Amino acid sequence: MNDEFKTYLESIDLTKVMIERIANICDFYQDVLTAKKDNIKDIFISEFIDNEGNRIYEDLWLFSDNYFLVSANFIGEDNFNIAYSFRTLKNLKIDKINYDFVKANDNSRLYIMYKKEYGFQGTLKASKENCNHLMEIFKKCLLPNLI
Amino acid sequence: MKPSFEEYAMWLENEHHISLDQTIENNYKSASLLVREQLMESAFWTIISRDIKIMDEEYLLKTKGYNLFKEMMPPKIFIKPFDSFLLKTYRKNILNNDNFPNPPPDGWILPNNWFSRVNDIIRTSFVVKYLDGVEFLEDKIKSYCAECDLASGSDWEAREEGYYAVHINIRNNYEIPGIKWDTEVVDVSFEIQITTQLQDVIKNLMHKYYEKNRETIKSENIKWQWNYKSDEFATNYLGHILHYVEGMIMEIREKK
Repeated sequence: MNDEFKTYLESIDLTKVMIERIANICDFYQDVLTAKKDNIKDIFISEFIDNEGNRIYEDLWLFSDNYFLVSANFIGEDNFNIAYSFRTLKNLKIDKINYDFVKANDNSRLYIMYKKEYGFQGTLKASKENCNHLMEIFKKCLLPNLI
Repeated sequence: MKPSFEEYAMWLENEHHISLDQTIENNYKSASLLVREQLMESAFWTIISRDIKIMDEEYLLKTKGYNLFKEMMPPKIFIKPFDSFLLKTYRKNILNNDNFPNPPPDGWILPNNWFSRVNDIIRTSFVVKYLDGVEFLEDKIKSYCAECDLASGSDWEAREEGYYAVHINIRNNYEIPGIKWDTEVVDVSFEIQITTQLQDVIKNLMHKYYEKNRETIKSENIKWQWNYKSDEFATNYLGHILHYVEGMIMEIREKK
């Protein structure tokens, strides 16, 4: 895993224990992508803050030029979902709380809901400083693939 | 006949020529503050505080998604108030001493040794969310003790009164002021209690009741287990019931 990814993961309070797990998942996905002559370019952890103020990490998203690579509930499960990304998003909806798309604070929350063909849909969730990262992902990886 | 707690000061004066005056209390307070300060600056506590999130993530992975801790902050380190401390010495010297009027098996607990003899002058409490988190955290703390070359011992408390927790006693040498205000190096125990969320709730509710209960000599003829009108009956069984519920929660969690 590259240093940029590590820095990002540390910025959302993950320690070496979880980073190692994520690195293993990244290694698997990169092996798959190599066969397709593609590479992982970006990473995002979908997470939210629960009622007790704890950060709950849900899904690991990786992005290459041509694919979305997702491990849903990556802490509790071993599952790997690879989907072609190029212009496959039918709809993107943004909800935000205490966030101006530029500077996040501890109370900032950002939710981006996506819809793909054949009814596939989901939500990428971000809290605090992760909102800034999700906005970058939105611009680089999601918006260009909107039909 | 055993003196009551109210008569304890007089007993110390008459039997051991110890005057329970302000000097004793001031010395206790100064010494215990110094021990806490040294502990908080120690490598052991620094590492544990730093690794709270790491331990939580290790447990999170092991259990596939359950947090170890409710809060990701190191707990506060408390000093036993002087009154509670004195009560504990009274219990060991008098109330629970079957040898009385002779010393208890390890000898009298007096100002010249009581910092070493009372285990929980400096203590803290970790609260874990699930029952299996207790053993997990105990193992982790013991590994940190080994890493810092500290002697430790655990007691898995399961008391008749419905109190369930693990107590880890970690011994180290600390510099403290002696009774004559010279500096001594004394072997003092730092007690880490590990308990579950539900037990923590009841512990806080029942703490005052436990303390009061411990002051008095109990009559052998009264069995609280049959005295359903007593406070003991409700409170003690509540502790047992909560422990049982936590076991059931584990069963459900493991079936998911």
